[in-house]
This record gives sequence, C-alpha cells and structure tokens, in this order.
Amino acid sequence: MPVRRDARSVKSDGQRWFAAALLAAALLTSACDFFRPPSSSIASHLAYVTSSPDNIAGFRINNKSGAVTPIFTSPFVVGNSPSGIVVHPSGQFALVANQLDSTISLLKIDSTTGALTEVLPRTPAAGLGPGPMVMDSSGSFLFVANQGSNDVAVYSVGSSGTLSHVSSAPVGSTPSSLTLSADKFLFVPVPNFSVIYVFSVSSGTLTQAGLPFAVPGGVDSVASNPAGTFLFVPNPTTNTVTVLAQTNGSLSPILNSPFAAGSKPVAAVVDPSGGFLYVANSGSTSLSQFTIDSGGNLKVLTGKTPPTAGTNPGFMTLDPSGNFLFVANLGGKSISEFSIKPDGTLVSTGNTIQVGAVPRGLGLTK
Amino acid sequence: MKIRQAFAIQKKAAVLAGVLAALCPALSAQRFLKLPPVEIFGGYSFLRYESKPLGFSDQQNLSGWNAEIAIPGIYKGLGVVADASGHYTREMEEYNFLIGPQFRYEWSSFRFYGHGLFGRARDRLRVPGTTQVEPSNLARAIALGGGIDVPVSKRWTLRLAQGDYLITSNFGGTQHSVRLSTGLVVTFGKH
Repeated sequence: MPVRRDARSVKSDGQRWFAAALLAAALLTSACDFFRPPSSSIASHLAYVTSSPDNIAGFRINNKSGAVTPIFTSPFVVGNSPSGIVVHPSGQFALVANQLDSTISLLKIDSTTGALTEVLPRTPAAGLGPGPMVMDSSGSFLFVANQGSNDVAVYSVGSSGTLSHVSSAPVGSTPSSLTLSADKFLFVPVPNFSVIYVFSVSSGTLTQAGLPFAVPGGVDSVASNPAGTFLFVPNPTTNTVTVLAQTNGSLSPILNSPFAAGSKPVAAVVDPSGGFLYVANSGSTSLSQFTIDSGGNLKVLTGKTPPTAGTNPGFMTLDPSGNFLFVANLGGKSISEFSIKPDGTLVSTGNTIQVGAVPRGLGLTK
Repeated sequence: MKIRQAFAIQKKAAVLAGVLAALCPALSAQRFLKLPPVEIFGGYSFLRYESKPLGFSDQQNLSGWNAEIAIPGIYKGLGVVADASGHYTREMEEYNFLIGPQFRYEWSSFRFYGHGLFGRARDRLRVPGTTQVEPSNLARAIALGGGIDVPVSKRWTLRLAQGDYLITSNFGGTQHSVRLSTGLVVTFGKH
C-alpha cells in the first residue's frame, strides 16, 4: 500500500508540475505581448540644438502634441562653437559644423535613447569657419557655407556619414545661409553685398548661374516654395519681403513685390503645401504669416491671435511632419514651438525649449 | 605580578561561567522551539520601465532575474521577504534591493501572497552619448505586489507569477514600472 501511494503521489506531482508550467508560460507570454510596444507607430521624433561653446542639446518631440522632453544624457559635447546641424534623412546620424575648429562632426543617433555618439576623428572642413549647412533630399550631398573663407563647399555623404569633399565655389563675402531648391539650385545670400548667389547643382558640382542677384532692402536668408518657382526674401532694412520668380536659376521680382512685414525680418519658411509663408521679425517678438497665391503674391493671414515668439527670433525650422514650426529666439536663448493649423495659422503650443545659450542651429529627425 | 595575573584569569573564568549559566536555559529550550521554514526563490523577471521621462522613444522592456529569501510563517501567514532583482536591455540596466512584510494565504493547492517592499534601486544608462560617462543613480524604491505559488513537492514550489508595481525615484524623477517574475521556490525547514 505505501508503495502504491508513493507512485500516485509521484504521478500527481508530475501532472501538477506540467499544468503549473503551462500556466506560467501562458501568463508570461501574454504579459510580454501586452507590454510590447507597437513597432509600426513611432510616436515621437528628435530635435538637436547647437549652441556655444561646444554643446548640442537634445530633445524628444511628441508627434501629436508637440510636447518636449529633454534627453537625459544631453547636452552632448562636440567641437568648438558648433553652428549648422543637419540630420540625415535616414535618421541614423547628424553632421555638425564646428565653426572655430573648422571641422565637421559626425554623430550617430541612438533612436531609442536619443543619445548622440561622436565618430572620431572629425572631418577637416574644406574652408574656414563652416557655419550654415543644408543636405539634399536623398542625403547624398552636404552643402556647407564657410563664413571665414567666404565660399561654399560640397561633400558627398557616405551611407555611414563619412564625408568626401567634391567641390567648392567662392561667394565674395560672408555667406549668411544656404537654401537648396528642389535639389537643383542652391541660393546663397551675402548680406554685405545684399545679393543672392545662384548655383545650379549637378552631382555635387556647383555652377554659378549668372551674376549675383541684388536685393534692395538687404538680405539675410532665402525661402523657396516646394516647387522651386518662387523665392521669398525677407528684407531687414526695409521691413519687407521681396518675392522673386525663379526660372532655370534666373531671378526676377514679381509685379507687386515687395510686401510689408514686421520689424527687421530676417528669416522665412514656406509650409510643405506651398500655400503659406512665415517670417520671423527679429526687431520684435512677432512672426508674420501670409497666404501665397499662384502668382507668388502675399496676403497677410490674420489668425485669432497674432503669433508671438521670444526675444529676437533669428531663424526658423519646419518640422519634417509639417505640423510644427520651431522659431529660434537669439535674444531669449530659447526655441518657441508653434503648430500649423489647416488654415495655415500658427498657434503656440506653449512649449518652449530653453537652450540657456544663443541657439545657432536646429536639426530634426523625421 | 603573578598573583595579579592569576586573579585576572579567575575573573575572566567567572564571567564566562556566568554567561554560560545565563544561556543554558535558552539553549536547552531551543530544542523545543519550531524554527520557521525559509524559502528561497530564483527565476526570470521582466520589467516594463517608465523611461519616456528620460527622453526615450518608448517605455523599456527589460529582462533579467529575481531572487528572494522569505521567512513566510513568522505569525499567522505573516512573514518577511528580502528581494533582489536585476534587469537589462541594450540601453540600460536596473537593480532593486528590497525588504518588507509579506502575507500569505493558502487555498486549495495554491498559495497566494501579497507584499509591500521598500529599499533602493540602482539605474544605469548604457548609451551615454558623447561624454562617454554612463549616468548611474541610486535612489528609493517601493514595490507593491503579490503572486501565486503552486507547491509541487514538499521542497519545491513553482512560482506561477509574481507581479509588482514598482515605484523608483532615479535621476531626479519618479518612475512607475511593472515587474513580473516567475521561477522556482525551494523550502528549507518544515511548514
């Protein structure tokens, strides 16, 4: 009898083990599935702000609300006086111009944590004082304005972010910004001469298209519509915006140009639809907003409340989603965030990125 | 001099004898005391960590281990448990060292228990960025939870699941995380 009881108990133990193991496996699997994030939807993207002396501040932006969360391991240290920053369309790396070192930093982006890790050594710039940068839509070529040697350098970009110098072109005096239109033409404003240099772009080679175009009223930056048919040039001296029609690299002002803007307009952005223009007025805290008609004419867009940024708005960057506009306040040492409503009006999200130093460049992932 | 040393030795011997005399009843009584059983748990653990406030793209799923030493039957189902766990992912690692009371209730062939644990949590970020310094922080931790055990033999018990709501305060913020564990419990001593 005792032998039979033991055998039964062993059998019962075995069944209990099996049932319990099955239950544990089922519980654990369902729990893990429950907590697994949906891989198809990315709910946020990243923003990086360059500032002196050697910092890049990193932030995560919520795609829907625009809420800003600082990346814990930020700021990231790069070279001396980082200025222009571009994020590769792949979102895997960013390139930063270290102006006082005359180098370009390659930074790998960890998409989960948002952390930047620099790949050393830095690439020596093909010119002095690299500043503003722009990349073509495919991420194949990088254009860098050298504000010390007064020229523009073009680099081919490898799949891992390595740079190779392709060509350079002089622009006579300090280039203040770069605008690449439809990957075909590069516009380089030179404030000291109040002119815009126009280059046609082919496989990284720059060919100057005619003489530099003179802009009455001053020029600091240029915005192009997505089709590349119009250029919008804020004029800081006359508080206006000049609209230029562009055909094969040749520029001509449209009939009703210029249009009145706010105090000392310095930067402009066209929304992805090409229907709205936003202008930063650095002499105040205001932004001007316009509708653009098919002929390039501007009409002031009156929203419920006129958009107000911080002190001395200096440059603007459109979010890749087209839903948000970021305005860098050079005096306020901050970045204001606005959502772009379907009717084109800007509405402050209430989110302000405190940089703690003068923001010099802003790069965003998709 | 020799006389003094002899007195000193005699004094020490007297103190020792006194101590032994005092302990004798206790030592003899210990044979009649029933020592509570000790349970040791070890197993796999999963942690859903609230990492969005650190700028991560999403909450993190970490895998690791969980170990516990428990004295369950100190007084009518009430016991004490010491808990340690470690969880890892490519981006970070998280350790918890906790202790606290645990209450157990037996029903049919299941043992249900609940506990409130308190202690410390150490978090470390493994992707530090350009500074190459991995941020690490030791802070308060609280775990509120419980679980279900199924005894499969006198000595061995399968911990079907243990769930804890884990509150940590690392890196100047508060993280609300969930910890799930499963594994085996081995018992020393009789229930």
